[in-house]
Amino acid sequence: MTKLAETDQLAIEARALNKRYKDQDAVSDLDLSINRGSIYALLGPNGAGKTTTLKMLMGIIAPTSGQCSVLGQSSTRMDSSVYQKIGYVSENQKLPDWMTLEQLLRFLRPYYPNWDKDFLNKLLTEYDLPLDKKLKAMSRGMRMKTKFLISLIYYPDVLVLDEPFSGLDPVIREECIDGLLDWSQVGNRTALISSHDIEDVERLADSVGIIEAGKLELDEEVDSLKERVRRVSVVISENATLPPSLPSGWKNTRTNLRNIEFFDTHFDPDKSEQLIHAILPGVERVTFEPMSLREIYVALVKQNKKEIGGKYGSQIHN
Amino acid sequence: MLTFSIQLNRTQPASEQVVRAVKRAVVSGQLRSGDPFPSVRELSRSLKINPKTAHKSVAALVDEGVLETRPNLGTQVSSGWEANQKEKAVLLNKDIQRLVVDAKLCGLDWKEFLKELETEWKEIE
Repeated sequence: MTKLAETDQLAIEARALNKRYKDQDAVSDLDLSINRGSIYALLGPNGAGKTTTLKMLMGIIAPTSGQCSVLGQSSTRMDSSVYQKIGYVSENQKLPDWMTLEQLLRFLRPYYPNWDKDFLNKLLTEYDLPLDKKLKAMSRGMRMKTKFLISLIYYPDVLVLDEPFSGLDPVIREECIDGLLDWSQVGNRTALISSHDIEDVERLADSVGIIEAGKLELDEEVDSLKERVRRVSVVISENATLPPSLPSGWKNTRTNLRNIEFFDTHFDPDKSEQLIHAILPGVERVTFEPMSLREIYVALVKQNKKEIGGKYGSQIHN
Repeated sequence: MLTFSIQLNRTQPASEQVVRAVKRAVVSGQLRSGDPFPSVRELSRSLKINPKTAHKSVAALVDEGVLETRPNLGTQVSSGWEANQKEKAVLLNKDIQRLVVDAKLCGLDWKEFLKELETEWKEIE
């Protein structure tokens, strides 16, 4: 058994993880390191490989090759001692529909030594969930809240959430987030949240990974990402002719008459402006605008693809 | 409800925005020395932000002397802190820049711009 030391920094780890279905790669060569205490958002469009990745981490499906572990224990050989420390919430997860919530809670309780009755009562009130209702009679929102409830009340060290907010109305979404934030306040708890909607998770997460077509294209702390990327507009005195080579940190440089726009991916408040004046002729005005995570995603991931793909080859200046 | 006004945008790091909003609230008198300041948990829940982000904001504000932690009293707005001129300018900087750019775009000259500012200033006084 590949058991890492209890003091290990990483809560979740994947090395060269691959999943192949017939002749399609669902996940390819994915490396992931999620620190304890982190709330990590795994973002990407539907079908990018998010669910497959999470299922491999949870030991629900086996990787074609590569390794992954949660709390130092290999995902393919997890035992109940690890399951007690992990919570998993998925949009598609099945619930025992014939049970009432009360029956479900009574069934689950013996499996979890950390079961917290006070937290349970608090959540039951906040979520406004009826104990005597059969799960199959519950609305989509109530079912999702039930999934949150049964995953939070034993204070798992690691929570893995697969598209937890998708299709939820805003009030229920907020209730789920409150529960999640309550859980995460104490100790060194780690959450991995997948979402196709960046805005759903951008303030919850301290780190993000962006997955596209099975590959992890970006993996960084949210704050550092927001600090290093800017949308730059430059106005110059004459019609723009760009120098043949531009700094590699400038992405997607576009020109129109006297305007030049690009994304500066190595923004430095002390140096970036100087650099622009040194490189571009006749600079009259420079503006740097911070960008939202969604804009950064489009700028770094989508744009990068286009450039590599050569589809817009004639516009590449770096 | 929080005791200071804040509207988070999606472009700047949330912790910086909280720090800025709190300083602004102190400068404007919305928060006064001795006022209790929300705990990290309350801050995180009210704004739906990562607890670490909330913690980072409070730590930065304590570090800069805007807030102070007192045993048994929790965190409160400190009495000593006052924004210096430079800081006030920084708090306003972005807005001023935007205003000037807009004014220039509208074709106002310096005198016309000042006149507009003056009118608005007097209206609020």
